[in-house]
Amino acid sequence: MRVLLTEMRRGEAKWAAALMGAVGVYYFTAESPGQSDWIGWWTQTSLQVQLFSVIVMGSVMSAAAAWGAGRAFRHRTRPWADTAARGGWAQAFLLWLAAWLWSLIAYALFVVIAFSRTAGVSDVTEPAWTPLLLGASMMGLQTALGVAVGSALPSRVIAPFAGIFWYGLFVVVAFVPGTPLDKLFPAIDEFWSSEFAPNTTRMLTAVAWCLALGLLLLALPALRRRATLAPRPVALAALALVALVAGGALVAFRTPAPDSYWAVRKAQPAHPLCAGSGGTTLCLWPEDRHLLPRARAAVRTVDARLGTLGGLNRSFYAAGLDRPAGDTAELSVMSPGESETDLTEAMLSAALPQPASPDCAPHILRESGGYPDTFLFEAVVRDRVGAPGDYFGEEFGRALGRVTRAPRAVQDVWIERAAERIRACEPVPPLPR
Amino acid sequence: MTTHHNTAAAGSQPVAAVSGVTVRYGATVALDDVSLAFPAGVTGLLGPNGAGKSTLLSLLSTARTPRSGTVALLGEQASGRARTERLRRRIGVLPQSFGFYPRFTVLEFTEYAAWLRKVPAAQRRERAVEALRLVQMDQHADRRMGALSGGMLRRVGIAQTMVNEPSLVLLDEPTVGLDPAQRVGFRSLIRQLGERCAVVMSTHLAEDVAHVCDRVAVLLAGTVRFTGTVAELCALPSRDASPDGAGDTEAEGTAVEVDGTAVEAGYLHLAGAEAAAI
Repeated sequence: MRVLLTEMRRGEAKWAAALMGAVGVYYFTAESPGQSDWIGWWTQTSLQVQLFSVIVMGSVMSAAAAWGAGRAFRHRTRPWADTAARGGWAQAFLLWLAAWLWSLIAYALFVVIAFSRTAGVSDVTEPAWTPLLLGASMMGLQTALGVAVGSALPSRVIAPFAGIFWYGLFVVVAFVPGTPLDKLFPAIDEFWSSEFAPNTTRMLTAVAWCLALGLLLLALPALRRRATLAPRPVALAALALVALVAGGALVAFRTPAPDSYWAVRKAQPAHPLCAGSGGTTLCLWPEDRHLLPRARAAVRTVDARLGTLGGLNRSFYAAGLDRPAGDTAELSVMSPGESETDLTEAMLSAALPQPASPDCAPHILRESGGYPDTFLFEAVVRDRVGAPGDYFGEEFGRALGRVTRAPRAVQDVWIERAAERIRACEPVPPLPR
Repeated sequence: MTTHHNTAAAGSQPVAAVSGVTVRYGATVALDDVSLAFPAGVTGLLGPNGAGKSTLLSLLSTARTPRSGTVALLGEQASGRARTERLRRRIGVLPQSFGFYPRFTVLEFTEYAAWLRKVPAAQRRERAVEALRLVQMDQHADRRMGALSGGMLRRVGIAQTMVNEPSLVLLDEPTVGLDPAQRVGFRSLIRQLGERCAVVMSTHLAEDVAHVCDRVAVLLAGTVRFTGTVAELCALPSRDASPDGAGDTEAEGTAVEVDGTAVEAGYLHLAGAEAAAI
């Protein structure tokens, strides 16, 4: 323990961890809850900590670990250390553990800050630990590669390349989808709203893979050096087996689209949180309890604006919640900090009917200047509720006027019939004269 | 070439022994069918650069295995992972180029050496402090390694060899780079070390051997040319000093001939066919 503390105190990894800690503290404190897509959602918060830590801090710590491990060359201790009863693997393990622990200290700081911020917004406490565990093990793998590179290559300039390698790998994964790299070297950059939960089995498999591979990497330099005591073959074989099985399982896993590789859909809640006013209802996931006051206000506004208009969706369900058949719509809650205005706008958009079939081709309306008839329908509805939409030109405006200048009763009939037709994938009725 | 197979101390059980070992670096033969035994006390390996001293020490430290022949240490054959690990716990090594971590304090570095030698965790601090006390570096325990003088570093180097209470200590050219005063003090330290455990010390300075060693083995071109006591070495027929006059002034007049090789003035000078062979 004392030797580990000495390594931590005297090694260079502490400076890298301090730098990354400062950057991370700024990153996780600077974001505004109102603008954030993670503050308020526990799983998304975990993902955010994991993502920053793996891509940014993990890369830097890998370089720092490589530099630290290169001390055997810089200070010419190898001939001496290689005669020790503790082999090169154990020596590399100590260096790795010291660097990794510094990463984990900074990581823990990020977790505390990020979770505090989410706790300040959310009305529930449901921290998701497996993404954090995965991030920690991935940083372990990154650091291990750094130690292995630094121990194996007698070069002072190689250390930064360990970090560049990792960062470059994540860039490749982002721009070249479909490779198994994102499964084997996870830095999960995904948007999980409340309908998703971490795929714990898969993540724990990845944790085993990362740590087993990392420990194997640490053994490689020792295998190359004849003077040092060789790693125990049994230990190597056990780790290789774990890495092979876990890595193979990760590559072999397949998921039904469009689910995320790392997430599963949550079970339906026994009691979704619903806010109602008049004929309008909005149901949310229980985790979004903090949105309920804003949801209630937004529902009142939408109900007042839609009034008695027929044919429109009046029941809204957050994405992932089961919804009954009929005039219901899925509402995508894009941020845990959704404002009343955001929710109102989302419901107004979701109120518009959609074709039942996803294969429905748009029907072009010549009178509107060649735009799909659903554009005109939306513009008419928006005009009625006092939330004008985009401008599509004079001809479109004239077509819009033919509906909006008609008597209210005529408008209502046209809107209701158009809604039915849109759902049936048919053109909207002729415009009023 | 003649290879001596006599042990360095007849009648006592050798702490280490090599038998018929050959080591090659590519086409170069570093050790050629060498057999030597190392009893308790301080044994000097004397020879010029390239004689095979460091290679022999690397065999004794188990860092290298011979192409042929056997190495026995502390009563065991030095082969197999478990046995090698067990042996290494009982051996201390000070390489010729003693590297250290400059940011570590003296105590931290010695404790790290104890960890490397698998000293039990509960005893590491105590053993490190004791080793530093033996080399009179305990008062500098909190100084950074990078702030020490060359002589102090050598003392820490000796301390780290003793931290596991070894039965065998291997010192590769331990006095190189020390000024004369430091060298005198350091020799005294090695003699003290030799009273606690068997010490094998390589050197190319006959003067070191004369002051420190109980026994001496002379190596030349990978072969053993002499083994015996220092007195026996000095009793060999003497030769003239080297033509270029190079040598250590403190040891002038000590030139002797070993199998056609002159050992004088702190250096080995080769004669006739031996020089041509190397």
